[in-house]
Amino acid sequence: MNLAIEFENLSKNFGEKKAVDNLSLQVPEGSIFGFLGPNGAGKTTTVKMMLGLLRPDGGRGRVLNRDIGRESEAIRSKVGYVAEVQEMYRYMTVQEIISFCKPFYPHWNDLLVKKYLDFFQLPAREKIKSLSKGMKTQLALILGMAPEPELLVLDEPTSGLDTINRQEFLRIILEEIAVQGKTVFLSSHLLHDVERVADQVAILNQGKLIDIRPIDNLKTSVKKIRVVFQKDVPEELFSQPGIQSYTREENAYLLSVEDNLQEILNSLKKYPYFVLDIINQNLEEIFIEKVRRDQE
Amino acid sequence: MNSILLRKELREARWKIVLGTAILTATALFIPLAFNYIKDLISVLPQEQLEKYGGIMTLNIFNDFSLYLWSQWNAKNLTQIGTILAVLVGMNLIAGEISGRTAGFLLTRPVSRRSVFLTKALAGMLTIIFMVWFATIIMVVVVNYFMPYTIDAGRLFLTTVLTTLGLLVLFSLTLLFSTLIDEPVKAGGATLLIILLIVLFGWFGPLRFLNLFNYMSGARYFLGGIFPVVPAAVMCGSILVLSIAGLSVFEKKEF
Repeated sequence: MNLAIEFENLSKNFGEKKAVDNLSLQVPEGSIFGFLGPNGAGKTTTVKMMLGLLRPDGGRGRVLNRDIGRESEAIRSKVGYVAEVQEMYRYMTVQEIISFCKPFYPHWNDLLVKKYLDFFQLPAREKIKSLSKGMKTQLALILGMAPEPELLVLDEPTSGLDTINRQEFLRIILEEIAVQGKTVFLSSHLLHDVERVADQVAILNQGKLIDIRPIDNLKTSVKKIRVVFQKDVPEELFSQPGIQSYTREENAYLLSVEDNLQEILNSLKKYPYFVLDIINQNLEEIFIEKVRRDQE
Repeated sequence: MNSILLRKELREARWKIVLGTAILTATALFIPLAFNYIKDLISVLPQEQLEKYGGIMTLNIFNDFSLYLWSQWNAKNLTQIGTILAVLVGMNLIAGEISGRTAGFLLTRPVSRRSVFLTKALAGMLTIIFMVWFATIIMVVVVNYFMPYTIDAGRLFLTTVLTTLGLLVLFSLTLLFSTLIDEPVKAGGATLLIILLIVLFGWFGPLRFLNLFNYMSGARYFLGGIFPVVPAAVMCGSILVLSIAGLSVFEKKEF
């Protein structure tokens, strides 16, 4: 398996605060990788280390088979980047910022630029300072895709967009980048967006990786079980592997389960019950559960 | 050095270039045009007052037009206005990218930090050199072709080389502070504090040799005829050292 991104014990401290704490992860080439975490989890710090804006305090990282510390410029020539708040030179027009960026890259797709300028109806002669936040994000996406990058890094790109524009944004990423087998690294706390497009996710909390796996696997293995027993059951029943936590009210239990689902169900069914439901969870519920549990 | 970035920097500095050149050129033209007026004004002052407050120089400069031009241009207006312009040109170069939050945009393009810094330094230096020399050459041309005076243009130009070197030292110092301090006005303020300290050195005999402005005026060369090779070399070295220090800070800086 070829890897687009590989971190090994990557760390970054700001004073006493560990912004990124021994982060190890691998992003396969051609995947759409969701990088999730609450605000302040270390997502942007990680992205900045990938692009050479910050230097790691420990560990190592490779992006597109190049070292993030020593080969940052070479990495950036093959990476498109869309930031959460994309400040560009306000005095430049849309066309001028495109002309400014173009010579930096070995490849530049003028047709794609024209296509999406027309699609987004971005006025080429308008100054950046007079564009709305959404238009700036759309322009940043065009600038990110135009060099035909092998890896597109998106750091909270849809935060400033309305629902329609967010959907368009994600559709374009799928059409222009993912379909061509290029890698997308999508850092976001907007979980519906990630759920819609990502095939793998990593969850970061307080700088630490708390889970990483294919999104389908996450959704099939992380469940809630609601069970109401007819009489008291031994507490040991809930200490078996896979049960992450549970709440109890009389003989009614709500279990948070991760992996080992079938064995857990079998053992629960050994006791007489009124109700036994398996509740599917969406990514947002899984995320909240995991972060909450990690914080406990 | 990066030509795309250089064009961007010069574009961003265009109003500073236009206004700075206009101010310096207007001053450079005013000096020769005001010669007779000031000479007449001085002549009505009592001789003992002149000797008491103006010293011998005030009297001598009206006997030698080249000396007058040098005393009013290199030793005074160019040094003073140029210092302010050097700080204004330098203070925004790095700190402006940070406070305007465009540094992240620029540095995520495939361009090395070394190239970014050196291009900014070059753009600033070219700006200062252009402003100083445009005004100086205009002044000399106007005097030579439109006024009834002869001047030692070669000596004036060589002195202007020294003044330019001094201004480039101050620019490099400003660029260093612009790299260290993320706010342009604070970077400019910090530079002005250092400049104030340099001026203070001039007030104390044993520390006088540390006063950059003594060398910038080129007095030793213009009045004594000896080109100050060592101070000129020290100024070149200072530009280099300050630029390398700024580059080093910039390459290590986190955004």
